[in-house]
Amino acid sequence: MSDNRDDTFLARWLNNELSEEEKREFEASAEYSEYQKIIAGTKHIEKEEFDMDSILSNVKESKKFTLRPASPMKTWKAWGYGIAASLALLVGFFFLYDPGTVVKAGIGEQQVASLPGGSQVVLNAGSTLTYNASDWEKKREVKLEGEAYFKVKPGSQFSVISGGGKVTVLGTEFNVWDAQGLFQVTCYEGSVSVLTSKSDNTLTLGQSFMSLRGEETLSDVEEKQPGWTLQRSSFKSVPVRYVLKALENQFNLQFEYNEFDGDQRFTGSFPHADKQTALEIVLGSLQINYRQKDSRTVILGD
Amino acid sequence: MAEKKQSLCDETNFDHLFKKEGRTLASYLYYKFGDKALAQDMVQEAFIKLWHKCAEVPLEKARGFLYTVASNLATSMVRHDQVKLRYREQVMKVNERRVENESPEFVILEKEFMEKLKNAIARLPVKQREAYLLNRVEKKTYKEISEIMDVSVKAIEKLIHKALQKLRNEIGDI
Repeated sequence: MSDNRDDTFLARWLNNELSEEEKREFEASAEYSEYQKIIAGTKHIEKEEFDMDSILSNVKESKKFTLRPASPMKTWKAWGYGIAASLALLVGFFFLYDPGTVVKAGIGEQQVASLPGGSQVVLNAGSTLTYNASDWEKKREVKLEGEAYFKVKPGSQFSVISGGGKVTVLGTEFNVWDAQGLFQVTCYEGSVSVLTSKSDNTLTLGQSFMSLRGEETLSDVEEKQPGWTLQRSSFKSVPVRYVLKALENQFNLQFEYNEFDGDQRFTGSFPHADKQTALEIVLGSLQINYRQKDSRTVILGD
Repeated sequence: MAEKKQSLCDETNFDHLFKKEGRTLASYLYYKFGDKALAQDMVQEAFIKLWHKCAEVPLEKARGFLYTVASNLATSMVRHDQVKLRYREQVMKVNERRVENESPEFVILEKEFMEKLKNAIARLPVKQREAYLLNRVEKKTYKEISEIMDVSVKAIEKLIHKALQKLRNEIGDI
């Protein structure tokens, strides 16, 4: 390198900040083509993709509510990097936090609850709703795990927070379904706004929003209220694994996956009245082989 | 409510900050350690801390806070050789598609060259690698990188200059 090249020369070259003379001289030099090739090669290195959606929802989860098994702590432990002290502090934080009022619907049940503002909620089987009644005026939020149908009293305002995103009520009736990796909001009256880490949508009557592992779609629905509140759970192009989860919550079942990934999409509905019919409708229509291991366990696949 | 407008406890502000800074922080940590899962965990940890302290950290200090938390976590791990090894194993994906507008003589980047380049980048001193990749892959300006790495713009220029020199020496005759 000649003397007039200082220790920022190449950085200035990349930024197009060389003088005409410097540039001419550099381009004539033997190493110029080598540097150019390095830069051209570097262009071929892809940006790394990160799962920012899950990170954001884990972050949100950590503050508002109690620890879940899938919390970040587990991963940290697995790394074994010995940051136990700072974790202990954080965990302490969770326990100090007032968990608030908890409403739960067990397997095969539905639960009706009233929120402080006078709005009504119906919880689907296997779902949990948490809110802080004492703090309601300051923080109008409910936390949902699972599925619930909200009938909001006119003029009342609050937010529903779940792993997949945040729903803010603008008007009146809507359904939220949050399962691991799936987040669905359907509006049956008025309008609701749905905020995920990716987008901000306002749904109106008859619209449904679905985010499937971060991939977001909007569609229309014809029903006037969620099927499950009428003893029949309906699905539109939902990976069957989530439908199976709904079956588990409804009928106290456990599926065992045997060379079966559950990615096939299911459109249709199953009745709550009869377990065998429900199984036959969902699994039969997708031509999935299944057999009953015992009264609770169903094995899928061959 | 009005006085809390700029508070990070307001989810809109927090989400905005996450969208704006999250990815870059993840990339920065990935380039530092070469371990994607670790980078994601650290981003999560940093944002969790921020979320918990949202009332104490003013919006304009938030970015500094995130990088400080991440760097502190990082420091406790720097000693682990294992981390660096993972980097080498975890081969960066090379896009072999041709890039338009490139002068023809440089378009053909044979696989062998890309392998060499990738390995040479992985072997760069940490700070050089961070600065170089944030600039070249993440398209951050020297100014932005200087804020991320908390040094002067001049220092970033030096790092990038050195990184390029080192890459050229490492790769040898091309």
